[in-house]
Amino acid sequence: MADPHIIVEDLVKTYPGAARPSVDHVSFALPRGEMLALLGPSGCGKTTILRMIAGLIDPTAGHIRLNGREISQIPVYRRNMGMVFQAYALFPHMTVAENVAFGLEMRNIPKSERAQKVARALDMVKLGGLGDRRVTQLSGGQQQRCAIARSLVIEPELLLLDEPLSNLDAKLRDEMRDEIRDIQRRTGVTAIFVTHDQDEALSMADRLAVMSAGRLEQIGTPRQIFDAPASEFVAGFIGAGNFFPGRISAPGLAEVEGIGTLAFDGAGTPGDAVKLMVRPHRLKLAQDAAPGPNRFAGQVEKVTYRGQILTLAVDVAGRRMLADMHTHAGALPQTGDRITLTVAPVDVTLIGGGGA
Amino acid sequence: MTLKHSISALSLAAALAAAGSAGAQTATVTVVGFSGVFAENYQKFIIEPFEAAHPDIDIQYQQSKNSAETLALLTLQKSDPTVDVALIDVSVAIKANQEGIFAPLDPAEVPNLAKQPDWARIDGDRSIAFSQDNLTILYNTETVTEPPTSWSDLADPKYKGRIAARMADTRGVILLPILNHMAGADYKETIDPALEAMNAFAPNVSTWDPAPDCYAVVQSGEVDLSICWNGRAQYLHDTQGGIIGIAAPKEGSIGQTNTINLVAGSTEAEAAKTFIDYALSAEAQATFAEQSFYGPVNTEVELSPETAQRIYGSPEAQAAQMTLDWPWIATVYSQWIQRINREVIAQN
Amino acid sequence: MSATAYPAECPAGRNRLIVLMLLVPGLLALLCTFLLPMAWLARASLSAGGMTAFGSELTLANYRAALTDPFYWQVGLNTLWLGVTVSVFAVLLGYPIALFLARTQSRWRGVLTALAVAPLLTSAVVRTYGWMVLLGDRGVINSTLAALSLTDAPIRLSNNSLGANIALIEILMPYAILAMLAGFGRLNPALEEAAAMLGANRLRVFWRIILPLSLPGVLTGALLVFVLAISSFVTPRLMGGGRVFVLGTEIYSEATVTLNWPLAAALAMILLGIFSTVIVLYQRALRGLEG
Repeated sequence: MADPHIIVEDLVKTYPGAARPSVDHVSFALPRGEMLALLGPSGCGKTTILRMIAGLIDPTAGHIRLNGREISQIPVYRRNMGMVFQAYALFPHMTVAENVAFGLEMRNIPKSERAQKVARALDMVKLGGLGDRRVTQLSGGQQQRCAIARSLVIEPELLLLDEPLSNLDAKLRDEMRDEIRDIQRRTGVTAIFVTHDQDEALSMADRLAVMSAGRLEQIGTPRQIFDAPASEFVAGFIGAGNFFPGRISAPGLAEVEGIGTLAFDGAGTPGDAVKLMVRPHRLKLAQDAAPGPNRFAGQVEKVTYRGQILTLAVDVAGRRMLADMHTHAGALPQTGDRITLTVAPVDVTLIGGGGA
Repeated sequence: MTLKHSISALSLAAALAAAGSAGAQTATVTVVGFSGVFAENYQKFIIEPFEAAHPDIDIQYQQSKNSAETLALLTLQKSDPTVDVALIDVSVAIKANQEGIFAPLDPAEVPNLAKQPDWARIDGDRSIAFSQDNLTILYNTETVTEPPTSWSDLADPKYKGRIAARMADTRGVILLPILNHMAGADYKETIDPALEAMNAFAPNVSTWDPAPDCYAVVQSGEVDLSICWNGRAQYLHDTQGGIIGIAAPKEGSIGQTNTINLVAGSTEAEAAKTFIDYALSAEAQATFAEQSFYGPVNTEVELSPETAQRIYGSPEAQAAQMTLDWPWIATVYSQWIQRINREVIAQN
Repeated sequence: MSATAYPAECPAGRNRLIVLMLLVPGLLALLCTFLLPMAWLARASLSAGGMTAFGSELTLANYRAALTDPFYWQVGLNTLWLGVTVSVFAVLLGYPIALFLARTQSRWRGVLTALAVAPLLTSAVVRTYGWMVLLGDRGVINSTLAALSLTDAPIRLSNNSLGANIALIEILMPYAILAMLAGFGRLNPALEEAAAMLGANRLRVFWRIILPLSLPGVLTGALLVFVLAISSFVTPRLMGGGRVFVLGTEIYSEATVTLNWPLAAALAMILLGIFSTVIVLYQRALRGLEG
């Protein structure tokens, strides 16, 4: 990663009286123009990192470098970063245009230039013509757009978004997801956003940083994170998975108690205790019940219909496995059916085993 | 209050039981009047001797904060009074008479009426003056070595900012005729000289509305002089270490006049009249004057020189003691207060 | 809430009846303790004299007497001026406290708020006496000044309108603080952060965000203090040394000293008129602020 735009190094935040740090030695770098998702369950420290980058919280230790320059000591109002707050934080006593113009006013931009920039920013977020509205008269989605226009009009070094979609209803969320992504690409602004929603993170970000309990578990492209999770936590947090503890018997083979042999993608060191994962949608129905590697015989306990797919909960040797079937795949199993599931070795992932 | 009520209820029951065997009826007369020391003295020196002499009449004394409040009470109860006799300021009594709250007294039923001077028999014997509390000058005996002797001493520059004078009530209305008299003018013709005299001492006045009252500010040393009522001042002088001194001016004074009134529609009018007659008697008024230093009204009362001194001041002051035509004063009462407010207080 | 939202077995009519029945005790209490006395007061202000025997004829003479008398105009102006100075200073002094209480993250916030309004636990009379002890000619302040030989004669701090103002400002400040706290609902740390992110330093955050957003609270506080100040009676009376002529003291004196109840009633109705005017103006101003 040549010439990263922002570098976070050994960042620590410990609140007085807290048992453990909220942010625990987190480091990552982000190239210019990319969008990073900080993903994790609530309380994992992702918002704290975002606010330390913004300057709203002072780090306990560590460095934040922007364009190679340390910014930890620069006050928030001189950092030139745009932030979209979770509840948008629009100024209720100002119109839409006044909200968007606020940052320009603080930068003493002349009035005529200000008006032009505001108009352009509003057009960009499809709020052209609504500049004179009170922000309290806007719908949720419009408020979101206004907040984005306000943070981008100042041409920030960095765009920070704190749970930007959490206040929108499901339909609007999908729409705004694409739109934010689109605006970010068009403007080329480097962006970091915080979310607890894996779908949001996977679909919007160039890069994902998965966090747990203040620590950075893994950072990588969505594909890397999904297909080669570095830990069971990451694997479990990003998508559903069936996990099998086992022991490597030979390169590419592991013995799993009660199931038998699993062939997997990779090598491993024979004798090591490992964890293997199979995503539910990778499992297929076997046409026969013949034994062999990568086969799971069991009884269907529950069938959940989800439109395009059907999720089966199958009892395999006392272990519950989830398998997703396409609903157009002909005759589908019923509760109580005895079935055999199978998976290709390439779809069996060795957790922490590196890239695919 | 409750205890007092239940005690009197008990004694009433006992009296009823006793009366039952004797075949007589006990009447309960409710008297509403001033509170504080006045109430204590009135109970001890008027009501108790009366009850001793009239076992068939029970007197209930009900305290009221001030005469305006008494008037409000009587006004509210006008159609069905629970009060039989009211003791109130003369100016308020005259107001009440305009509302027809009090009944006229008949000299045949209340013989002592004949012994009251004409000025004391107000509004066709509806309100009878029974005592007068003189307006006087109080001084702090610790800070004032040479007590004032004249009303004009109030204007002495050495008292600058050291006088408390509540003038926007009966005190002012009484002081105007006194100051007028000193200037040789008749209060029924003009009060301009009096207002001028008031303005002469106005620069010395620290407060026109002493709080909590005109006695406490002298007692505490907050002011040197205070224009106040004599009766309570004498009591405080005797009970509070003599810090309050009374300097009755030689030009004489006028008393705040208290009246006794029979409430129209009283259900115990006969007993009430018996009580009023006693309250107006020379005996009752003399005792009350000796004990509380309120000036008597009954013409047959003879005061000891010591008592006269404490009520009216020096023999010179005693000779100069004045009375007012209260019904006439009532017609100008609020106008005078307005003039004091506007031409004296608001200017200073 | 629309009536149709209720399930069918609970018809709207019955609901409305229950609501009405629940309102009855409150309305009755209001009628007996507020509306009837008010009506009586209005009626009294229109009578020719006397106290209960109002007579059948109605007259505007009391209003004419009050409104054609320059003295009462002066009293009215004194009252308004007292209201203005007291509300301005109570709000100015209370604002930083209210702002601090509204914004602090301290866990002592509840205790601090209670402390700020604790003076309300003692009566205004008691606190006025406290001020008399402090501000009197021989009070704490003047004694100290004299002891330090800073003054030859006591400075007049009480028995005048200055004393009444000082005491009223302190006595009414807790109301200002409470009203402002209640009116600071739109203050939100995220807005201040947003402004800072957009380049506003602390001063500009205050002027552009905190101050405008707290104005409704400031206005409510000022209105409450103003209304309490112009209707105040005890403190101007005790601290004013008889020199402070305001509507409250005049109404009291007409009612208890000169016993002119109809005029007192007319003055009270005029004060009520001033209240209503101020409240209407306040609501207009508030609507303007909140848009």
